[in-house]
Amino acid sequence: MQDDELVKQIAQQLDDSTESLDYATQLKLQRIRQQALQVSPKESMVKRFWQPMSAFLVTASLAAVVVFNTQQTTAPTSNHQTEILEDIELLAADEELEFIQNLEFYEWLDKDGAQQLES
Amino acid sequence: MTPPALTHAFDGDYNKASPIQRRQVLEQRQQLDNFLASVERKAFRIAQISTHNVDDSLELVQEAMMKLVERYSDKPENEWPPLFYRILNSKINDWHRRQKVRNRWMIWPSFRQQNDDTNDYNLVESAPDSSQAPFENMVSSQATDALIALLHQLSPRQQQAFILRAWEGFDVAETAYAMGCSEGSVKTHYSRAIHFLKDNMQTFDG
Repeated sequence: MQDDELVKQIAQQLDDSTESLDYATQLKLQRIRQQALQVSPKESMVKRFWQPMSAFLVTASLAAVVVFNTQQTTAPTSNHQTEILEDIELLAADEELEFIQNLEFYEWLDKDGAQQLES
Repeated sequence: MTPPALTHAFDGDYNKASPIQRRQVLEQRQQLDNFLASVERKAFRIAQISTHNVDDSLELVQEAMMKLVERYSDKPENEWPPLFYRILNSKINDWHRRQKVRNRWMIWPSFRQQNDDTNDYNLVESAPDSSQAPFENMVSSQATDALIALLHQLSPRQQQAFILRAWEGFDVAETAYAMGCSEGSVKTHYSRAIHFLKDNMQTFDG
């Protein structure tokens, strides 16, 4: 018998054998297929590990750049942070804007009054 | 109507997904279902030829299906057949390794016992065969029975090479991928399988 004929014959017989599988086995196969389809697909390593990691690295790099730049620009003025705090305090205050604008005058008046009292 | 199994696994993500994504998920699940339905009986026969055990064959097919769904369902549909058979063959090879170890441990006590009683101990006869009866009951056709018995006599690698090439219609490269070996090994295993089958064909021919 030629190889091709042999292969053909065996393949045909195997095909027939799958068609003639008993009903119980076919039902079992159907059931295990349905069970397999209920398995949640696992994300690949790229999705599961490298994507969050790369997102984290990009965020960390951006944060580092922002912090570095902020430090570079604030270095010449030593009391920059104090000024910011004062600004925030002014904005949050309930006093009239006119009072705040004349604050230097009131400070002078206060000092002058104190000096007059001392003398 | 969509079968419940197609949505059940994805309840969490599925409900959050957009309508287009939902449609894609369902279509992919349907494709997977169709693919697995098309190979399940062949896969069962392949496992059965190799293990000669119905329950173990069903288990191996289930494990292969689950792994395909879990790991490779996002792969293109045309890549599923070689991937599936590669997983199945790997599971079958694992099964043979486990059997080897199990048989070694099961033979040892009976060997000692028999050796005490008599000297003409037969290792082959003492090997455990827990599943012969269900297997024999299940296979109805005598010709199929004989063919499966004949294929069972091939080594696991020869069985895989022959079945993938001759039955599944894979070319040498696809078979090599599914078996996880070189193309040269596939040719060797296939050639030896053909020779063996030719020599022993008369046992079930006609």
